[in-house]
Amino acid sequence: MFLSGNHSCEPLKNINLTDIIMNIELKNISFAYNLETDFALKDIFLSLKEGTFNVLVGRSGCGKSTLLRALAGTLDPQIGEIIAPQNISVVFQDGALLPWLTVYENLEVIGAGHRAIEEELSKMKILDFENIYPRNLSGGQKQRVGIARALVVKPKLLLLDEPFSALDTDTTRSLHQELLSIWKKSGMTILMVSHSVEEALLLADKIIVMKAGKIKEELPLSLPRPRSEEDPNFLGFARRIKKMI
Amino acid sequence: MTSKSHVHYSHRGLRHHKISNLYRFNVHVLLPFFLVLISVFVSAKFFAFKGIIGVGDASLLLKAVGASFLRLFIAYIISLVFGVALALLAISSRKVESILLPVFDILESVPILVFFPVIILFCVSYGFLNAAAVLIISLNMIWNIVFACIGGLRLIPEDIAAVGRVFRLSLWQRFWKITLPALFPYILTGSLLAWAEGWNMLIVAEVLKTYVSKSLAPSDLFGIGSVLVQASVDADTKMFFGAVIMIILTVVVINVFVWQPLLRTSEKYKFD
Repeated sequence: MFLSGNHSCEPLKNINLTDIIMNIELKNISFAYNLETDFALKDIFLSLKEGTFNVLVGRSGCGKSTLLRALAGTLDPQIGEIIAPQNISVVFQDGALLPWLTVYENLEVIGAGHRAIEEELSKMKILDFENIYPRNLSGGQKQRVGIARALVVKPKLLLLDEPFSALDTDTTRSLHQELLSIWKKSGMTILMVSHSVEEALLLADKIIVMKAGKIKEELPLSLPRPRSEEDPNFLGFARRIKKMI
Repeated sequence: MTSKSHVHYSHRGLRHHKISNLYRFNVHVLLPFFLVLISVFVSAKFFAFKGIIGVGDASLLLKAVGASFLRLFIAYIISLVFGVALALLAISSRKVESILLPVFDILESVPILVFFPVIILFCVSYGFLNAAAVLIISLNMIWNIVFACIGGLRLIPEDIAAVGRVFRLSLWQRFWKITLPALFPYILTGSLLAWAEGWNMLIVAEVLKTYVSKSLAPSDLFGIGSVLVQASVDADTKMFFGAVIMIILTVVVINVFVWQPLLRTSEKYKFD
């Protein structure tokens, strides 16, 4: 089920929009946390093809996370229109788990059923930790719970806000593979924020480069998967993107 | 109180057992309350047994401390409900915050005794003595809870606050399942301070009956505060010290059986 217009709009009646709108569209989005200061997002036009893996890269403070929040519906842009599916899910930077609830309860609290919870926990290899509190989990385990919680609602659009930035290399690599595998099986659209160009090149169908609240470049990638950081094409892309940032 | 217990089974046997709300109520509310009652009762009987005060006096002190505790408890519940609501209202938007916070600051710094003439005029003179006492205690308690909650609400991480909206929880679910548990440690800190001030104000509140005509029954506003003041007026040293000891004992027992376990529990609710 898709919604037309910005987040506050009512769904259009009598039209099956799923058949018409396949992409996620951001049209002329501008947002300022304080209208007296500078805009955090300026004139953003962006189209994400359904079922693709997109990564937003850019320096700190360039508006990547703000754009993600606008799509998630947790902030309302002052200008512009967002066309996005209704069932959007988010994986937050440090998991954003509720510390007073166990792993199982963290998924249950958002209204997920027992079978779906066990299925997602099992998929993310954390079923044995279901009665554990978040503070007793490692960073990687917390992020697995965060991903399981995001997936349990079967999203059409999955947003990830620098989910692996605090994890070690081995854990990050393992989670990259699992995320790619989940994405391929589910066919959902992914938009991930990352500060790592290499991570973006390993995962993305399209890399969106942001600078000072604007989209500087959209780079569709045709590199075959699995990708290698030693591949000359990979290195060439990495150099090109780093120059843009 | 609804009992909501789930036991889930999977191929690996018992997987998940959720503690029922009834169990939580018994352990966190009824048991401490019972232990406080038993401790105070045993102490009063001990004083009576040792002949420090008469058996009748011990019984009177027990009844007085019970009445005062009830008065404080009602005032606390009122302060808690309105305190949390006012804190939520205060940080609902930057505009509301800029208006309400200075108002709260002024109201908090106004000495409670300033409201005395108004309370006497409107409550005491119409015979609503208990309402007047509870109101005066509540007005003293509430600001501790308001400011603790405002501080707590500001410290809830942005991502945690966003969880409820992203996963489309209703406003009530977001409050009940995320905001209130996240506020628990701060409510507890505010409550500790509120109760401390409540005991102080109790003695003043329970002598409100001196402002009304003698037609009122002597049992009006009966409590440990009024017993203490009466003992002082009558120069009844034994009763006076008995009342003081009873207040100290009740405060200590509440601290040991209620606040300390709750403070330990609150650790679970803190963000890393």
